[in-house]
Amino acid sequence: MSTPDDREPAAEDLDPTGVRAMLSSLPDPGPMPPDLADRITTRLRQEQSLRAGQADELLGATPLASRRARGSAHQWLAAAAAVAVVAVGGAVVFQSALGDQAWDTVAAFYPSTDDAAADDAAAGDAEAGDGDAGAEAMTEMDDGGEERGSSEVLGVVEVLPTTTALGRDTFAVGAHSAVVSPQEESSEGSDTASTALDPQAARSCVAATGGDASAGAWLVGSATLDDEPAVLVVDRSTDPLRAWAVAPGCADGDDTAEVLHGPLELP
Amino acid sequence: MTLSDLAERTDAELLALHTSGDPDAFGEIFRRHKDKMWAVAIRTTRDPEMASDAVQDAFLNAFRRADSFRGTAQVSTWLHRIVVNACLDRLRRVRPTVDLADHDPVEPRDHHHSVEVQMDVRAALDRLPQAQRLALILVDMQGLSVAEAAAVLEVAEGTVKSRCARGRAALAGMLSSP
Repeated sequence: MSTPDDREPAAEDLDPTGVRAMLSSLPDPGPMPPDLADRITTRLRQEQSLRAGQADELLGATPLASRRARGSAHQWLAAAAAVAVVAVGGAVVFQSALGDQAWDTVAAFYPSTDDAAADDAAAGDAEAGDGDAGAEAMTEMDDGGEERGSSEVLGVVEVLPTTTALGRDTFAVGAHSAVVSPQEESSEGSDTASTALDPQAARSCVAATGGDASAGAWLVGSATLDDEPAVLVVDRSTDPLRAWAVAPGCADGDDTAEVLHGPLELP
Repeated sequence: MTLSDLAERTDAELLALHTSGDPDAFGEIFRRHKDKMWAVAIRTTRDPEMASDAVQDAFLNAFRRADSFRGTAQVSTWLHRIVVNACLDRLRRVRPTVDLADHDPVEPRDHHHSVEVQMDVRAALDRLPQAQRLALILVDMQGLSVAEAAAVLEVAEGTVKSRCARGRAALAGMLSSP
């Protein structure tokens, strides 16, 4: 990268032409645009959410798929208790993160939500006023221990709740949108919830790409590729993120399903 | 941990808190450095959209790879490096021939000639070889020390000094030419 000339001695402090002074006096570009700060904060929250999920897994919280496979009442109660702990703990984590003004630089651009768990957590927090600003990122839990909300967190495999329409020509952009703003994809309400993949099937789809669902961080969701059924798989542990479209057979547990498109790096 | 607690922490302490699982620590790092990182990104790419993507990539990388910070440099230097690399990655995607090879396309002129500004400084800066421009951005515009800029660019301090000197001379030549 460097050339012999690079190593010539130079007196950096000398400024006979006045160029250094001129450059240092150029106006600053100004603060980061609010919409960009908003966007980055959203991504950082998603990362934080993912990290919290991974921490839960490392601490021994049993993956949902495994909980579903077990039938005894004792195990069901243990799982329900774990889910409750995760729900409350998650609410506290997010309340803490969002109630802190460390995030307020950009949190001001976030609409508050009515998330009940966040509200519950906020009730016990003296700084509850701004505490629910990012609760949309939190996975909600119902009484039955099932997860719902914008996405279903399953260890490191997150399942999109809705179908993402993709095209080969615009695949990367479409996949990126699904990653960045999964909630926008779910604007059709309850109708879209039925398109969510079974979490275990999601792992088969990861395997179909050659990936390891037990490692890394994945986002999987029903999709269409040029109007044909497909499954979107995004590896979130790489930079840039990589995405595939996999044949829908993986949703039936076929971990050898054909990769229809990709991998493509996301913008 | 409260805001005041975080505000009193050094960058390195915040990064350590983040790697140990504190959910708020990286938010404070982002708050402290976002404007400066935005500045270096926009100055490096000269394209708001590209700068936006690059600085987002950079902060996400920093979030994910905080444990790679060894503490041998300041956190701000580490962040600068990540942002500059993200910008260069983006620039290479649109201009694959871009590299940091240092050369002097501009005919050297008298270093001691007084500068009479006859063209926009930014346009002149854009005409510099990328290596010289990056050195000037970091040292003269972002206010990094030569040692910090060297750490960001992963070159020797002498290289940064040389690039700065030659970049300033080239700029002076461009700005004083009729």
